[in-house]
Amino acid sequence: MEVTQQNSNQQLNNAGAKELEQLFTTHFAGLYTYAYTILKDSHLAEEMVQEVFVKLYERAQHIRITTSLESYLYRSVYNESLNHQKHQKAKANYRKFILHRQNPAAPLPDASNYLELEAKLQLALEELPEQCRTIFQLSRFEELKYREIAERLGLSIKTVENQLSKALRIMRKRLKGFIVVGILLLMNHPTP
Amino acid sequence: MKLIFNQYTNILLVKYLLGETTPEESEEVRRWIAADPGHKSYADDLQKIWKESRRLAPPEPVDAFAAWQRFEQSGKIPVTAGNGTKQVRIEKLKKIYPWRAVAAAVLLLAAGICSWWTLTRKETGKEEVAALSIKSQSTVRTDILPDGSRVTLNKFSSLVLPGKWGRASRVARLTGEAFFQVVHEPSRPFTVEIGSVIIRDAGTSFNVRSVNGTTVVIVEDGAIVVTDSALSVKAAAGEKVVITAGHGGITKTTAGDKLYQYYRTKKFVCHKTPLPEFVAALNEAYGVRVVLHGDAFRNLLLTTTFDNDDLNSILSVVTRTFGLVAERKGNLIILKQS
Repeated sequence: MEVTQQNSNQQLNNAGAKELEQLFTTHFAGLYTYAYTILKDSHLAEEMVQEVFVKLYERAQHIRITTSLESYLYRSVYNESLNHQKHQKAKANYRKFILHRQNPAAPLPDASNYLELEAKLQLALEELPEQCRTIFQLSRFEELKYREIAERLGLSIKTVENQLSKALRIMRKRLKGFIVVGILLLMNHPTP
Repeated sequence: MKLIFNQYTNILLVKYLLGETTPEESEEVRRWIAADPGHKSYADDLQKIWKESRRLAPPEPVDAFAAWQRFEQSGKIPVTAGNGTKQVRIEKLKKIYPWRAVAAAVLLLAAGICSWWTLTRKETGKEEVAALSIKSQSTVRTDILPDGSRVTLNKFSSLVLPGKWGRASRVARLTGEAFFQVVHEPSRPFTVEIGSVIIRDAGTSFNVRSVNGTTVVIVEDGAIVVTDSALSVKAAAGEKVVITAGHGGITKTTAGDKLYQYYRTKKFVCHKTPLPEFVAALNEAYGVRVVLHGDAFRNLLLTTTFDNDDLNSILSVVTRTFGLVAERKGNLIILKQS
């Protein structure tokens, strides 16, 4: 997992198939996970990452990356996913309506607490601004240290500290009350 | 309850939670937590949120190399599949003038209308057709080709017809999975190419699926000839041909169940189908993640038909048939022995 920051722009300009492959395979897991936490669909998440790399490939000459390559990739995946989500929301509402008409059966009842907590967490994450969310993402799902996050995104460690603190503060605010009750319920009524 | 602490404390607390504090800082945090029950419950909240947020991650490990291969084969970037050493030049884009953009848009629109027109027409008067590409995203799609043959693409598959398609031959390049109902014309044989595998028909319908280098062709009607490098085999209705890339082997068996039809018919037809195979089809069809926990599932054979049933009722039949329990974790559904 190493892409040196100083030659990232050059790397793009000379992006041959091999370089593109390396860039893609190095960052795929993290970017895919990011898109997945936003969209909750593995196919879509993969498509978002592909889209970002298609754009990167097509515009390699024209993109001037002022921060770090990783920060650019994460921001692109975030934007791509949110755009898609916005676009799909109208469609999804319609689809839900159709699905409900075809299949009025409710989901398994014992899954509801689990799903509800997940949905709440999801909503709480949506409250976070892009940079804050990206930092949370790297810390939570890629389990990187503060220093590693700072290096990858070209930020100071202080910024990482501040943003992570902010992320958890916002999430707690959103989940207050629910998190305690929700988890207690889960512990008392484990799914079969 | 009022909590009196500042930004600094919160930063320190999160650092502590993530194991980033120095021993002195850890000590400071522990003192702070012990000082007040309110502090403790706040710290507990953060920890719970941290712990629970883990469940938002994808339920299965990510295979970046497989993802790259899918990307390469998607045709979204001009990289030769399987030949990673080939250099691809990125061409410099010229400055785009507004009128050029308008002209380009008009051209694109015209091209779009043309391809739509050729695709939807059953008969073409003119033989020559420009290169066509049909792609499915997250839904199955059916199209009629210029020669009247019908193709049903499973999700995330694509079919490319090269330029001059249909003059002397009809060659279509496939990635993913598709079902073909071919209009037979002896003078221009219909051919499907998938990787190095070539399938020639003689007035048939057949299903082709290629995943991770293994191509499976199932003939429903008529007969076909499947060729890979020097090997060639003829298969008739009800037969199944399996070609594994790299091994150069072709095997022919009887087709067994009709599970493969589900994406086209919305029916799951199982006949002595091993449970893992059925579950794989369910996952693909419903975009869910059902996993089997434990072993000996290959011995569980399912013989039944689900006709347009919803996932919950299918799972309920499966669990009752084999005495399993279904456990849901987020969008993961785990089936295990009860």
